[in-house]
Amino acid sequence: MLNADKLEILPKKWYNIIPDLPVPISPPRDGKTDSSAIELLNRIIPKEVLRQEFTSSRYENIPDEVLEQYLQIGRPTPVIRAKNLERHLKFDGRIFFKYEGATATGSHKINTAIPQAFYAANEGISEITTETGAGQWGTATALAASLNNLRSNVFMVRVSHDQKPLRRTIMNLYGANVFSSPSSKTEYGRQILEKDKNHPGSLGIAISEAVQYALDHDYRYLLGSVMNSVITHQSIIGQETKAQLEDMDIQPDVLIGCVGGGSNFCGFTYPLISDKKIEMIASAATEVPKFSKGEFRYDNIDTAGILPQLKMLTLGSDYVPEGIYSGGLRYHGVAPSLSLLIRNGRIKTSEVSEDESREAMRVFSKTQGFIPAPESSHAIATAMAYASNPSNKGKDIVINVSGHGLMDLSIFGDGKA
Amino acid sequence: MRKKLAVYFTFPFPDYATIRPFLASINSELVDYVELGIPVKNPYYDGPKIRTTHGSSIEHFKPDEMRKEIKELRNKSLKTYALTYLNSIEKDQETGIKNLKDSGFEGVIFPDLLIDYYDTREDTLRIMDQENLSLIPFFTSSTPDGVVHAMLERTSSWVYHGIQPSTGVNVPVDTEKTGERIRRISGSREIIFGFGISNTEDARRVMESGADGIAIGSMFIDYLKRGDVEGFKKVLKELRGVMDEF
Repeated sequence: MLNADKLEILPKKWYNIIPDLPVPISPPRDGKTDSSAIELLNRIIPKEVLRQEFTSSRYENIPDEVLEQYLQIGRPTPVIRAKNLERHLKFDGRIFFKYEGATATGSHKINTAIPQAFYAANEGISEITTETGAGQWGTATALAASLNNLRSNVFMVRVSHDQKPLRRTIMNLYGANVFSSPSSKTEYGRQILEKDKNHPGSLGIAISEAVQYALDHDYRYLLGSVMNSVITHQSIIGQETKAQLEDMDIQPDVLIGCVGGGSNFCGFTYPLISDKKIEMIASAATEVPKFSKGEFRYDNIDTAGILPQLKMLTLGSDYVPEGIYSGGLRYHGVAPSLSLLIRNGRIKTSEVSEDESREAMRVFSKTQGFIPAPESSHAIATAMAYASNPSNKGKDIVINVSGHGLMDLSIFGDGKA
Repeated sequence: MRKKLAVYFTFPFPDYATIRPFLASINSELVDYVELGIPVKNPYYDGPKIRTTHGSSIEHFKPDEMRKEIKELRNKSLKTYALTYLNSIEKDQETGIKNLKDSGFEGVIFPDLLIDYYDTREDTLRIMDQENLSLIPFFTSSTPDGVVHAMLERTSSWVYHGIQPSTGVNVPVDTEKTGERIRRISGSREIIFGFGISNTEDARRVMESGADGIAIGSMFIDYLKRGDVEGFKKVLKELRGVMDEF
């Protein structure tokens, strides 16, 4: 594809759904009584990101420098018709997939890491921090920092740090300092290590350490999902998809994506949500049943409760999910705007077990060649079930494949994919 | 038309003896609206500063004392509004709203109505209509356009627009864009901006964004704690000066 074509597809603005929601979104709330977690954001989040978090503007201009970086990391990503999968399923409609695995870091996470790092650099910040579980977000942060001449500090949950050395290597290659969390770098980490020097770590601890490290050194902390600003940045996915489908003269019947915190799904669907004819299905893990068992209430974004609380569908910030491969789907909550749209019925939901998603991953890899991430395979499984329903005959299905699964092949542990 | 200055007090923070001279010092030359916060156990949409005023006021809150003060304010041609959480009267809204009316309030601001009670808002509005009490719509930058339209159609009072996500908290916000947007949607309705105005500079900036007035509360807390009525009066004059520039 020529650069001129790419520029036509790449939107110049991000879309913010807040002014178009059918019901009001609840504001972030302080979980503590004596201090303001909302005010704390001033000290850890780049100012421009914070402004975007609370803006009433429907559209936000994408800075030229960010557009250039989007081009450099492989945007726009392709929309591909999955003809082989259609044949395999004997489906007489059409299946398309938006392939976010085509970005340099292999997932949609880079779409928000780039602007967040760019704004931090613009504000004269020298280093950024973040946490990572499985490694996708840490990888995206590390590259975004490198592209914007920042140093990055990634607190990686010890269990993943030890089990996924390749992820660590990639982050190091991008120039990141990767710390096994709990670490000796923060007071909180040191306290935990004092009690148990072999502590396996958790995402909550890693977040606490990343935030603490940012506060201690006047760095900035990058957020990977759930927040409105992140979803706004991710709207690049849906806007590209819309342009690409229009270009192919395709009117989609259904959009399907997977949900961890909700950023890839929201970014994919929100730019098309005003078209009431399009059905939208969010797919989560059965093992993390946030749609079927989640309660709609205020809850902590992070396990440690450092950040403000959000009103959302949640299993509780202290929920300990099963150790499924889809690390990105283990989050306890659902972004507030998505929670509202699920509750009012605009967005439908499905929950897919690890076995079903693994099977979908196998089928998709075999038929289409692209190996989807285990997280994205949940969306594929939902799409396959949708296509198998006779009442959906002849429909046009579009799946967001949020990342590749090349680093997750241990899901087929027995070597028999 | 004169721009409006609305002042907020959690009643009776810090205590009756201290707050009385503050309320007594207010006059209609400087101030247009007085908002009295009725203390609740958990004022969750307020920032930490206002939250502390609720905690210490809830135990010695006396409705009769509040009624007396409202009467005094009314005698000075000042309109008084209640700022309270619907959550605190949700079990018996009929009685709760009737009590607010009997206290002498002109209207009520429920910061949680559109957030936590949106689906049942019509029940609340119906009771407000029965009691002939104005509901002041409370909007923020996160209130969707459709909700703003619906509430403007259903009410006729001035509008309270919260600039910040909670009181006394300052995160970077698009004051100008937010002002333009709410002005565009609200047409000729009077819009008072509040939440996060902590000095005269903030007040000027907010007025420049197209507000018809401002509501201030958090910045008075230190004066109340010190019992500094003279300092408070001086600030009110400065704020009125800013209002009169527009």
